[in-house]
Amino acid sequence: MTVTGNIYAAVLAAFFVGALFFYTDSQTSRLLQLHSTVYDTIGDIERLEVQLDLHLLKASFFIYYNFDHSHNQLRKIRKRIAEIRENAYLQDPAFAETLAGFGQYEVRLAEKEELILRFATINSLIQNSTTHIPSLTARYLNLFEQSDGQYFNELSRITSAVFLASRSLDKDFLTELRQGVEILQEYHFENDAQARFNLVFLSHAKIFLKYLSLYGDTLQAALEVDTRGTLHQAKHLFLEMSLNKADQINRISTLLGFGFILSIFVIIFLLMGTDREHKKLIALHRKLEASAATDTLTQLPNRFAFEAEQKTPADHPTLVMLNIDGFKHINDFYGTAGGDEILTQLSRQLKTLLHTRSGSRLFRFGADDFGVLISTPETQESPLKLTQDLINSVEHNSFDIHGHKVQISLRAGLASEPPLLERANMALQQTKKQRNKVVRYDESLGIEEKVATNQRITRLLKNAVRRNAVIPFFQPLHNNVSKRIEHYECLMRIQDEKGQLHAPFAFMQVAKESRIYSALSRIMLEKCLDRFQSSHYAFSVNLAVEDILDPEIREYLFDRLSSDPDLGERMTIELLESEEVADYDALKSFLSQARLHGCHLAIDDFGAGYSSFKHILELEVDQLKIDASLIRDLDSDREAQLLVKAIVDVAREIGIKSTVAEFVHSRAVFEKVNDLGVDFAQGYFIGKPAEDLLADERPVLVDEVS
Amino acid sequence: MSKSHNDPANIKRLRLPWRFFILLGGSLLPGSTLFAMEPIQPIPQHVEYDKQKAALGKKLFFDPILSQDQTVSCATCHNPETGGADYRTVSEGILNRPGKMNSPTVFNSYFNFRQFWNGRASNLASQVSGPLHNPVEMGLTLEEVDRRLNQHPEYPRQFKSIYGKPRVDIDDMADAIAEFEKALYTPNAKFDRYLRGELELDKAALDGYRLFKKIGCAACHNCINIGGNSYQYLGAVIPVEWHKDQGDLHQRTGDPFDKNRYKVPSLRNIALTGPYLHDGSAASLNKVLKKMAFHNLGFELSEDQLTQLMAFLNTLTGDMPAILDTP
Repeated sequence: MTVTGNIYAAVLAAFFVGALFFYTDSQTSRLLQLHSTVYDTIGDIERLEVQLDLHLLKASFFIYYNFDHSHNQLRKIRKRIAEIRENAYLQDPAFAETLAGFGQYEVRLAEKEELILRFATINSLIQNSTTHIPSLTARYLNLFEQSDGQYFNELSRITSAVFLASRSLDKDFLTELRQGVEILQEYHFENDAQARFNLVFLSHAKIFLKYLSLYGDTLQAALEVDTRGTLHQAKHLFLEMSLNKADQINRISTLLGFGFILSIFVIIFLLMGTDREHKKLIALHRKLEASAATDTLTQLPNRFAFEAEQKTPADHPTLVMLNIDGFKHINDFYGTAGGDEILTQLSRQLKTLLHTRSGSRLFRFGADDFGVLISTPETQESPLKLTQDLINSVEHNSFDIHGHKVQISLRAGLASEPPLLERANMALQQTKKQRNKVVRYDESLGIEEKVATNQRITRLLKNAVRRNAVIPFFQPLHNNVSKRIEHYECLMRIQDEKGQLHAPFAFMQVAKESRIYSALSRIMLEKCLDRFQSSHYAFSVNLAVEDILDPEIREYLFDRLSSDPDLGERMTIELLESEEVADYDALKSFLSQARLHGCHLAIDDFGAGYSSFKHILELEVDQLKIDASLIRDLDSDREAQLLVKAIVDVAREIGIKSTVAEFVHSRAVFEKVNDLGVDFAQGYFIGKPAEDLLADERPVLVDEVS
Repeated sequence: MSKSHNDPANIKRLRLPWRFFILLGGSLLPGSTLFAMEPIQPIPQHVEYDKQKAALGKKLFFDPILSQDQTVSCATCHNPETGGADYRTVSEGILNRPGKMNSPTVFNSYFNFRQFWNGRASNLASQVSGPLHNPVEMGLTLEEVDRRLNQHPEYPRQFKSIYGKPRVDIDDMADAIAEFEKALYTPNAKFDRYLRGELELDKAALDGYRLFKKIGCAACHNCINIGGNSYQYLGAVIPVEWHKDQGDLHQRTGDPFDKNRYKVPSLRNIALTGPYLHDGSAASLNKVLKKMAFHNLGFELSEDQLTQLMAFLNTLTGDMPAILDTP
């Protein structure tokens, strides 16, 4: 993105400028340090100059004095100047003038040195003669016995003048000295020693005449050489240029500082730009999200919107899921446009109805499913009541489709526990089963329990197989012709660990789904065959299609029947009428093989399903067992009587050997069964299923069934 | 100031306990107390110098390669055997050409404020080239020196190891010789040891020193080198004859003020460095003392005084420079 690129560039610029800023800062402090070094060195030179002058004055004061001091001082000053010249700070061309200033100072210093050297020469002369003149005067009296008072006076006068002149450096006193010298020069001595003395004395005195004035001037000149002024000038130049330079550096620093701040501002500006872009994108995103979350037909929020809303659920929300009964038919009848019209009008009406109801939101979940999400404070009317009100209002209204008045009915599922959508939907599905307009979800509807039940049953069955707790029960069939019990139906019971018995309806579905079924069937079959092998009764076993198709069971059965042919003759295989058979050929081949062993075939629960006689004819059925639903009210139900009569007649006509009436639970029904010519009766009135066979073949038939 | 308490002469007049105390103090404290105001300072016992450069300089100093006919080296006229000076009146250069000046001693020359009798070199290194090019002395051109040194079997390598340059540089040669000359200091003269409080001088020498100060010698001959730190007149009081081209300052400056004006020679090792004066005109110490006393001080020395001064001057001979002993 270019904005990001700009930001990187700006950050880089800021970094660069910042680095430059700190670099100049460090340079500045380095220069400052060099500057102060130069400044300090200048201070040193000024101090050394003062000392140099002091040495000069000391030399003039003392009779002898170490000239080395002056030379050392000069050497130190020259060294300092060299240091200044070599200072990195002053290598800048801007300081050329300053360096020239120091050059000027060195020239002055050389002048001063020359004067000092001259002074040293003259000083030695003056100091010497200053000591010699008084001592010569003193010696005069010792040297010569015949002293000349006048001459000695002159000597003293000269001595005094020399003293005054040398101590005052005043030329006025030289006049007196000159007069004395002129007088002494007039003296002529016969005595060589005296003449020689006079010469020496005069020589010393003349040194004063010759050099004293120069001595004072040289000292004065040496002290007055304008070294300090030149040095001051150089220092001034240096400070001025330094200040300029500092200003310059300051300006650059300030500029860089501004540059730094500017780049920071640019970064901020660009960041604000990206922020704006970001906000725009967010707005766009929201818009897209809203359009995705809105149903185009009704403009209601859709399922996405609902799910999005569920991420931040309200307190105790209730979802009412509404569905139009038979909407498919409306669509078929009025076309999709008509259906859409209904949906639009319904949504409008629901909206109006919910308008006064705060805290409720209307959704369209798809097709004819509407949702009302209610966040219900407990004090308000219950969601159930609201739902009923809604349904009433809608059903009392009629919708107008192209001039046709259409009435619709609604069903509703409610859920208050998450997941709301799934549970409300489950409750809605339940309305169809319960024939209720409104169902509220509760745990009994839930699959959770089904799953739990299934798991419990599976455990029970596995346990039963393991413990061999599959127990065959036997229910007697009453031969209505012979009036005797000649036949038993074998019924499976499962005993749990507490000893409780469970009938197949409680577990058969689960057993088939969990593949335990074949094991159960196998055990059941084995036990039944064992039981009837040692008796003369005929018996029926229930086989499901799964059993028939199971090669293991098939093999087991036919092995047993082969080894005991009598067993096959007495055995009837009951197939459920309602059972759907996918592979008729396999079934037929099984039945023909069974028939070879003498087995009979019965259709169980006949009349409960939709099976046609065509199939029954094809299977060459031996027995029809008429379903309980036809027998239950046979004593009073006229239609049932006609139906049973018809079944019995048809069965006879098509060659079915016998018919059985199930669920014979009373004497009245038993008599009716007999009247209608049904061959066998089975039910509680005859005998309940029991672990043992009845003791008597002639049952005691009592009215009361306990 | 001659009445200072620290004047050794004055110490003698103090009562013994005081003398003891002062001498003790002087020996305990770092030297300076005793001779703080003395016109003469002792030669330092140790002078820092670059050993490598000095060793190279020593070799050059004794090497006649630096003279035109390869007969003369620096050491010919600045002979360590004769106090670093020339025993001849005036030095002879190549082809036995006589020079004009008596060679001043090379010993302690580092402490001189200028070099040459007329101070025309401000330091030792710049002094070196003087005799080298002097047609009477060594008579070599710069180019010839350069050629000889760079063609030498050993010098180029030695110079390179010290100065790090591919070729021998004449300035570096001068620097090496100067470094050697810096090492030619003669410490521990009897008088220096007296100043440091290490020994007592005999009476004659002490009297000579007092006289040295009293009659004005110290006005020109002072500090470490007892001279060598100012220009002074020869014949300051009783003038001497002046000739042109006698090597005085005038020859250099043309200033009438500089006629007969010379750099004051050092009195260090004076007993060894005769003959004396710029022209070697004073053959003995005795003679030069008399001459100097008369012409420069207007003073005629008595025999006693002469003996005393001689006694003093004989205490100024120091140890031979240590560097001469090293191979």
